[in-house]
Amino acid sequence: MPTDKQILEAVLFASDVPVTLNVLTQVLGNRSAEEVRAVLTEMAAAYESEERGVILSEIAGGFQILSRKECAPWVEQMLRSRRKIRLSKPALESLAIVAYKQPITKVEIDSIRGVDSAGVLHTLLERNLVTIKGRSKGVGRPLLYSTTQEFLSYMGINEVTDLPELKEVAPLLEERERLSEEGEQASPEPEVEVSTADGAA
Amino acid sequence: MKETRGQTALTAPPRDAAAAEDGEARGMSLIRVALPAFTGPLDLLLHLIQRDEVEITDIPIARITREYLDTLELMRELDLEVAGEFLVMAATLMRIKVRMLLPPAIADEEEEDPREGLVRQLLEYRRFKEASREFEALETERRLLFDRGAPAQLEDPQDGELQPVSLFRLLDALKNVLQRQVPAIVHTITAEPISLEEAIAVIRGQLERGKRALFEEVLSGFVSRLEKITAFLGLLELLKQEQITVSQEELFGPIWIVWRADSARRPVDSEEEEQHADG
Repeated sequence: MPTDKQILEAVLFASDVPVTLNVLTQVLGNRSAEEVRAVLTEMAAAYESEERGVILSEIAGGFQILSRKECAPWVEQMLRSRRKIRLSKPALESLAIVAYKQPITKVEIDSIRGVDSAGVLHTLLERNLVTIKGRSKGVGRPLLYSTTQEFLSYMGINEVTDLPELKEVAPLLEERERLSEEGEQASPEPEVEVSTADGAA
Repeated sequence: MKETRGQTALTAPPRDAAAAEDGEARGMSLIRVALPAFTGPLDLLLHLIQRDEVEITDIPIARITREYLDTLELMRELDLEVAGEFLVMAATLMRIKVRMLLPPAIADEEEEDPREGLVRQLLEYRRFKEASREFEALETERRLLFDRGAPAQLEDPQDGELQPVSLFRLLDALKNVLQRQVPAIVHTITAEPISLEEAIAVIRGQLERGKRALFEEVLSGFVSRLEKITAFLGLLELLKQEQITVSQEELFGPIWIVWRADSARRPVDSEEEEQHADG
């Protein structure tokens, strides 16, 4: 009878996508989710400390065995040209906007970037990093974009909240208002209309 | 941009050439700096503001407008496509500049700083631009970890990527082989005409041994013109059954026939066969 660890390892090995804790728990059958997680944590630590070419990573809402990053040059050599190309700067920009403001319309993305994003959005859709979540209730019922599970996996994070925190605009503007008040007494009125597409959220 | 450099060191291989170039350009003279591709007018503006180390909330509008227009001019000289949005921004900048020049008495009393809207937009854009750099760092980091299931590419004839071959190229190749056919010095024996099935079996045998062979190599095993044509039909049949693929490194280059039937399904099948044989 194989141990829990062996079964989990076998299941994770056999999958080329992240496997959720839920599925792993179901597969084992006789263990609670907490117990399974504990075993997985133990395995991940063991993978890390032992002399292994792979790691056990918690990614995109599941667990997945991935190659160790130090081994990347050698793995790369084997895979050669089969790798997906990196995202372009416009694509990364648009992806960041979708990630932090989802669901968001194309017009809002265009307005933040100051440039048309149709082509870039197409690429992101094609690579399944972004998907259409539905339609906005606004005029013309424009499509709403949001990020996908694949996006999480692509970025190597577990959930959207793991993304680095987005800097706030407000403190910067307050700083400016403070400066201008100090500079000249006739300061512009403190409340200014937001002219960017912040209204979505 | 510290991260970018760190990544470059980690990833090393050529992929990061663009990033390195970008970083390099940053430290160079004005004209070189203007060269990196801008994702849009806001990107360009932000770049000018950062380069001149001026306060984003207090943009010297005359100077930045001039530099912005100079850059557009440079882009045009370099034959870079200047998207319409860049021109719209130029107009916006000039409008702001004019409004700044108007004496306060003429301007509306209630009026805010003419730069206000632009500043908001720039600040908003900058957040996401910065975020996109972090995304790039995440991307780079993640690309060092490989999923299972990526098809390996181990025994290519040479480097370089193989391209699909059209049917016409296949026919051309057949023509070449037939033309080169030296009229055989026939002695006697009437060769048994080979059947399509036999031809397929021969090709299969040849490919299963070597996994991959040149088109001409495959056909060279067949003697007469009729046999070669039969073998060609056999190849087409195998192609149709998706047991082989044909590819070439370059147009008019040698055509490779690759045996693919064993790539995914084969091991399982043969195992089953063995079991049957045992039982």
